[in-house]
Amino acid sequence: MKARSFRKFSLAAIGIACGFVLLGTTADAQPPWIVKWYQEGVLWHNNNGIKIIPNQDWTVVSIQDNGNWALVPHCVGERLLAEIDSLGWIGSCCEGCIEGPSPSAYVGSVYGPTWNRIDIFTSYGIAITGITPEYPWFLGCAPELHEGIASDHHAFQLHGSTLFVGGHDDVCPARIWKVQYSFMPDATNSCWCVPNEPVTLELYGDTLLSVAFPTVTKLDTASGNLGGSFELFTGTPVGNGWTWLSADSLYWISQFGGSDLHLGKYLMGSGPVWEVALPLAGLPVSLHDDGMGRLWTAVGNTIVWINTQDGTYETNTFGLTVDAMDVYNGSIAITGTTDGVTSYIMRAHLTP
Amino acid sequence: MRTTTRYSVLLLGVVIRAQDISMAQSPLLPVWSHVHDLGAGTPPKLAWDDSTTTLYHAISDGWWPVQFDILVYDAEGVDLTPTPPLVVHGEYNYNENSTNRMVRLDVHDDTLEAVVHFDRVFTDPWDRYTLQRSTMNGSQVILIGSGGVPMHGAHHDPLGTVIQLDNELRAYDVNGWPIARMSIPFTLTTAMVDGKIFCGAPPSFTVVDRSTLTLLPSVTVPFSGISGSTLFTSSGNVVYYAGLNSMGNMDLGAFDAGGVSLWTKVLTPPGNSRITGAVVDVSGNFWVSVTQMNGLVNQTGYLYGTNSSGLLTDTYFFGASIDDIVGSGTRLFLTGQDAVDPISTYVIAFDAPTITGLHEVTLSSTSIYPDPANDFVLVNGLPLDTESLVIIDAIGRSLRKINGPFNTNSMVDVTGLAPGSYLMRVNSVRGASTMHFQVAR
Repeated sequence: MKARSFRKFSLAAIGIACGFVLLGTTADAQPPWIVKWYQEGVLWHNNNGIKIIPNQDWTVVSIQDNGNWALVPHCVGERLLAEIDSLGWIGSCCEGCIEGPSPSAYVGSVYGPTWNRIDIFTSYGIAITGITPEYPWFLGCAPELHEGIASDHHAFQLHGSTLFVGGHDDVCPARIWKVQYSFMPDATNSCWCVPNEPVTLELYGDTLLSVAFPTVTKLDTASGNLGGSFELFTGTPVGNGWTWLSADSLYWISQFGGSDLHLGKYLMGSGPVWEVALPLAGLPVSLHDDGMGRLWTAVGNTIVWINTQDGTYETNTFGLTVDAMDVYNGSIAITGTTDGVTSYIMRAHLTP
Repeated sequence: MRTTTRYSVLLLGVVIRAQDISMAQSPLLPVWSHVHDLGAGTPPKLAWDDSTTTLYHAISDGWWPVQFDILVYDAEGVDLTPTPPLVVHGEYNYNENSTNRMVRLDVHDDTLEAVVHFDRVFTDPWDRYTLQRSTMNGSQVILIGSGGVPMHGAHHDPLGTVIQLDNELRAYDVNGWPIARMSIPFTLTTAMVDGKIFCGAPPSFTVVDRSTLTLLPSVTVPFSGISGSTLFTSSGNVVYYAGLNSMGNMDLGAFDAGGVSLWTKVLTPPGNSRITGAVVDVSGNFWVSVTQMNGLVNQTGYLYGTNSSGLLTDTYFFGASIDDIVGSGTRLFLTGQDAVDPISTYVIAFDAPTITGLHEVTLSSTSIYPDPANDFVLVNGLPLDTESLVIIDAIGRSLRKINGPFNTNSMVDVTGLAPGSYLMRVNSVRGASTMHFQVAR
């Protein structure tokens, strides 16, 4: 492992000066971005997911609609996915609300090769826009028909027209389902039992990496055969972490060994490259490589961007809590809350 | 389809009905005007760019798609609007009862700034407000939405952007990232003078250092009532304000950047009025536009002018709303909508007169006799729809109000009035106008 190398920045809390609540501090670095649009809404709370729509520069955000948005009148009190156009205007929206009994939860979205949006839910399974019917298909396991429960984290990956989803059912406590995104009869999905329920999934060539911190289990994407495992770190993780795979580099972030967050780079076929401890408490919301040599994550009200080469990092602490983040093609989208009841959604162009 | 007609002065009656214009001794002379069959019942807005000597006129372009056309003129009224015109976006109307209203339009450095209110009044009580900064080629620089918190204006400078909400300022850096927010008293607009943000309402204005975003000592001015709706403008190092208060009066005034009051004045606009614009001309005359609401239509506009000492007034009456006013040099540009046809929107240019005294304002068929008067005056030729007569003194105070109904020729008691010059304002269903008379004993 290379020596740790990182700069420390003041993580000063919210400052108050003569009535003005300062949302950032001079000790913080300016995030390298230019805001394109920034929307606030009263009581758009619990925005737990955000996704940049790849082909049209729109943004989709998962919103708990308490009536103040009221995009779909019958969705009041339900979660819905609202689309925001490239200029920041809230679209005519939506595919409808996500109804059903709790504890089903929205996990995330991914876009297929024909730009259908695939939404993953814990107990509903998968819903795909633009197909008939659009209602969610539960995660089945041929020839069995046990209803699967997807991981409530971010354990899914799309590879061509094949979607891998991690979770569990009442037969196997740790599952990975392999489904064809274009057509999903419940009983024809492939499914495999794995040693630990994945928190994230990554695709490395023909190998599926099932990450259950700190262990990474390798599976053959065609057969599901196990191909060994390796450890990202030594310790017992607290809560869920995130991974991001760029070429041969597997980046990870997880909380363990106390309150600090740890972030590292693992070179596939080689081993750990660097690891840094971020003096930040709380669970990170995501991990993304922006293609410009930086990783992006956030915890609480602090945004962090990390040099992929050596793990040095910079932060910006402000008065807004980050609940979700996405980075795609030079853009970043974040959502969260300004004060616990008012939510915001932001898109920005990343700068080198 | 947008229709544009350029009217000569002789055809001004199409724009603002000629019989409704009160001509003063120093008449407000129209230079040019345009009328557009657009507006959708939402108030138009104006912005003047000194650097390019260009006038921008925002008009709602129908109900769907929801947008505001930005029409472009030079100071002489030559239409420079590109085809298609620049547009400012409204929000998607998913309910036919929803409307978009432009709250403010500003322009500088070749960039338009528009605040738009998406009104969902028939859907639920939660509206949305957005600030759009767009370059002249139509590309959007940034969009900031304050959700349901009313946004009244924005200020952009090399430090970034400050948006002004009901009771709050929010600051964003040059990259649009939120950096600070601050509670302030309710204000409709702010003025930026000498690196300071002035906001609030008479009698106390909040002052904020723009660069450090810290509070400075407030400015206190005389007042005639607690104001809510206050507009600011500035010229050089002087802040001008006009606040409509709960007593129905309008406190006007000017103070320098150090907070030293230069003059104050109290006017009494017609009831059910709102202040719609404020501008200072090159001579230091302060012009304030007011629109009186008479139901959903039949809006009546008033233009008040004070000289640089704030002591004297001109009052001009329009048979149409005045929804915004901007100026350049001695030229004033006004926009509003027809009193009975709110989808007919006008923009008109005047050369501001030199205000030298209290001008007599006359109705075309109404007169006062005798003048000067002693105990009573006979007001001849009152319109049948006259609702009230108001006697106003030389400094704009309403001294006496007589409610109708009235005969065509009515006697008005002026005993108790000190010798001097007065205005008699005739308030009718269609609007109001004023006449000059004197009391001498």
